[in-house]
Amino acid sequence: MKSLPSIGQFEQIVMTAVLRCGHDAYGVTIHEAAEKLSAPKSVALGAVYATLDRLEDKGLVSSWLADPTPARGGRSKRHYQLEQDGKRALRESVLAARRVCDAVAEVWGSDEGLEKWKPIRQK
Amino acid sequence: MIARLVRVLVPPASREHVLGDLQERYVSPRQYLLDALRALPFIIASRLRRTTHPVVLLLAGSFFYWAVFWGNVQESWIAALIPTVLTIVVLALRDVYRDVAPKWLRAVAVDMTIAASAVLLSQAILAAAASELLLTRATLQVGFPLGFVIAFFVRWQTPTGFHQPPGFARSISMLELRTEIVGYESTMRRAIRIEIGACIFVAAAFFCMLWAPAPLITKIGGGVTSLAALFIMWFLHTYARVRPIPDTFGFAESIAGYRADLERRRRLSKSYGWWYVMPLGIGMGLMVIGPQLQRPDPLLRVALSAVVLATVGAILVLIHRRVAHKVQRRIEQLGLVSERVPAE
Repeated sequence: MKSLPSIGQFEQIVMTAVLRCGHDAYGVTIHEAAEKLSAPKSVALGAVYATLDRLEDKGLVSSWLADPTPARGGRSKRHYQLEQDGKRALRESVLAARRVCDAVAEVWGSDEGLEKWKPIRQK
Repeated sequence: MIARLVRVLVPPASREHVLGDLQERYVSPRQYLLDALRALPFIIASRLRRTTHPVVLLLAGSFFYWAVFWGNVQESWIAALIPTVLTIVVLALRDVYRDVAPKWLRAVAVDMTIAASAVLLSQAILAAAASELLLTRATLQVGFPLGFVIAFFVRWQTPTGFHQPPGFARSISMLELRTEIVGYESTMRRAIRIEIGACIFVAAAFFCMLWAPAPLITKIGGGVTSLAALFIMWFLHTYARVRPIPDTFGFAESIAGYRADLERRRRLSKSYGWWYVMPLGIGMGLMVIGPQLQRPDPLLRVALSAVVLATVGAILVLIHRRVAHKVQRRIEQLGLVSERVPAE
């Protein structure tokens, strides 16, 4: 199996934002989702564009232009979606983050606001 | 007015979706302008990253510093550095703001004219402000025009400022496949024709050197370079010539033909050191190193010249290895694509 390109923290946030936006993932919605994920830090719209370009060059996301809409002054949206490699890279980086979280929680305990990671069970 | 200004500042490749996003977020003119000004540096930097390569910039910078602005004969090294940096910045920005589908010959002519004008303007300003940093008269009369003509041909042969995101192994329509094949064939055809033209020019120019008043070893180097150029011309004509894929071919046949041609291209890129760098390098080496041998205590000069030549050769080989890697990736993807039949 070929090795996946490594992804940084901000790339992870943007990829998660793309994932959450689903079929409606384009600049504005991805930026809003990324802002929520990185709160309380704010996210620059330009940084989202630059990161999406970089992820596209790494082969982790793909994009295409949709039809123009009057609400956007007759301009098209550039839609994004995670590719198979992108999904795998995101999964790997989430697992790594989870291991880090568990390791820190073991040492610090719950006093620092960190508890061993548990999946949220839906009823 | 603000929208028009922002439209001009956003690179064409990103214009459509960025302007649409800014319009969608519009609350007031002030917020629109601030949004645009905050996003622009990121967009330009990202475009710059996509359209330029540090190694290519370094090579171009070395070419302009040594060969065009004659950095080694100026009174101050800064004198050649100023026009070099200016030229590189102008050309890089022209790549960032490249139209999506320009007429390439005209685009290159405009690129080089703007860069040359910027250099001349900087010389005019320096003449008034700091005359000690001016280029020598000989540089401006010979190196500058000649170097820009060579740079024009190199740029014409190798279109810059375009970015092709990696393709994905998914279904494509016959029309998309044909568009990709036709684009690939015309790019390769033009590049090979210009390269063959350059080979003829180099072979003739270095052949004439045999009658020039130069040391014997330089003449031998010129002769070898001339023969090397002829060899490369023959090699390109025999092995690199475009073999068009007929448009009567079906999807599977077109994919097979296209993959076979990309495979041939990958092999040529991988062996670039053997059929291009090595033959030219021998003649060039004789011409550069030969005259140093006649000087007293030549060892250090010879070693330095050899290192410079070897570095340039290695960089060229590495660039073509990268090309081979990219081509290999597309070959693998094409092995997995299937035909998408357009909906009725």
